[in-house]
Amino acid sequence: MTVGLVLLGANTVLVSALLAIYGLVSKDSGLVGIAVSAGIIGGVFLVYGLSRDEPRLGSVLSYLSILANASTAVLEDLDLLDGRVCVISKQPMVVVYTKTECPASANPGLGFTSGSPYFSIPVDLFRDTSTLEEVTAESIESALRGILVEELGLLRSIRVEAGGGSLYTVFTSGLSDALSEYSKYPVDPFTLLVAVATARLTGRDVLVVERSRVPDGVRLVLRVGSSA
Amino acid sequence: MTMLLSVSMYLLGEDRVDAYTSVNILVYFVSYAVNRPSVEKSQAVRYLNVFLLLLFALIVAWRVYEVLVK
Repeated sequence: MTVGLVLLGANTVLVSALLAIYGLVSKDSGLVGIAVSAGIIGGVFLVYGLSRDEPRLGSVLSYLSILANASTAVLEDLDLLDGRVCVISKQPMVVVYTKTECPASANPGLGFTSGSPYFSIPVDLFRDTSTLEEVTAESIESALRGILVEELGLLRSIRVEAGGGSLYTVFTSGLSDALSEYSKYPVDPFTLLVAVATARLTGRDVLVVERSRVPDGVRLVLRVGSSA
Repeated sequence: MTMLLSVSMYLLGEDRVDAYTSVNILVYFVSYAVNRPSVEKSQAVRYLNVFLLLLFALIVAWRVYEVLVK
């Protein structure tokens, strides 16, 4: 939210309402027309002020870029660039990159599991998100749409299909250009967001089985369950 | 820009409220298409665009209807 823009919009709407009332009282349609024009401008300011603002989005993207570059360098040194990505829902929630099975729990940072190194990043996202009562493709789709499309506005649409067992395929479209750029890199913030959100919603571990770019978006195959 | 247009229309003696509204909606969509704001995927902005487009369509439909029934 941009407070300045919201205030400007609210004041413009208020002034236009007063002008419209005056126009109606004095039976001047032209004045009412001008008031409606000002009202539209005020309404647009108000809506844009309440949306996420460009500078903040720019800062987030800059932060993501630094995080992705730093993490990629670490993964390169650990030879984990083509490793598995999983989210361990046990508190504290972590995203783990490993070449072996995902550990049952992991400390943030570097560690070893089954004699192989892993790299884990603690995540504190979607902490207030409540767990779904029933885990189905429809319920996951609806909840992910609420978070990623309606709340964060990161993409235009999302679809989840059950793929048998505990596999779920997530199709996205209209992904913002800045995020879709990362889908070709090992550390893809959007993939992590979807995996973390799914782990929060289901309360279970999530393994990213497959990740591929499709026109206008990303296709993810997730395994949801304690044996992820 | 929009206020300049509105004042010009007022000085020209335009008294139809829908004319002011439709011109302003057009100006908004032209500005939107040219600038492509970063918040374009926001749900609220999408609702605003749909609302303004519907309003514009209604105004045009009403004017066309008026011409046809005359």
